[in-house]
Amino acid sequence: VTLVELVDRVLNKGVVLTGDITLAVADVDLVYVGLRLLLSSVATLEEGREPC
Amino acid sequence: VLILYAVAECPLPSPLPPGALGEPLVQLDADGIVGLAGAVEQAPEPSEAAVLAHARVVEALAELSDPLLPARFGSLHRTPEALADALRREAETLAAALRAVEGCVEVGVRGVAPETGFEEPPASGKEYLERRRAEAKLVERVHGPLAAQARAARLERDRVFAASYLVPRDRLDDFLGAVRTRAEDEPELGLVCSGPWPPYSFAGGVA
Repeated sequence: VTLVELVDRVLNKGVVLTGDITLAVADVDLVYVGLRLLLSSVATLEEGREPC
Repeated sequence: VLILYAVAECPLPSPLPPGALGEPLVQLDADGIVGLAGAVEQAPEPSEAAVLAHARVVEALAELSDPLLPARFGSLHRTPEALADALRREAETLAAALRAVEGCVEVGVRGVAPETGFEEPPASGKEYLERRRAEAKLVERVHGPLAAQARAARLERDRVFAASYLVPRDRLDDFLGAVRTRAEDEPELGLVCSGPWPPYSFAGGVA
């Protein structure tokens, strides 16, 4: 549970500045596509474990 | 590109920890809002290791600065000037968020029980509404007292319980005690705690 909680925070929370739109936002979107998959696999992994 | 790790109120004492890719960190002071960033050749590959490395840099910075706003993973800026401009544009919001989180840590509370005990599909619209009402009451019994003990609170999901609380550091033990009480009173939720985290969920302000 702790790992999922951390990954969720780092990926979905935290400050986002409306920055250098042409580069930053496009890159960030791509980054997120990959990481959503990662997050769901982590969540699946954690399901069978004892809560910590 | 520059990777933003966190935002602070004033420059941090050196030495700063290295960035997620081992790069040296730079501090950009944009009129009283300080961006902590690392200059790298290219954006980090998105991976679990990269996310954890980002989290470690934020943790290390949080030990050097209170208040500190963690940046989301993948916050990229092309040049120092672009980052400084972005910080300046949002200076007011960032300053308010920094004030709000000062002296506080974030605690996550989540229900890990598979369901709240309503496995059968509802027989009628009336039954559905009654269940939803019962669930809402259950959530309020947990969330209400915890939110009252926190400086700010975010309820993320109201069915399988998930919430974040901004808790003053010196009230942390009392808060964890309150979570324990809730967990014992409502065992069907399977409440667990996580943290204390840097205030990721409150980095955008607490309004």
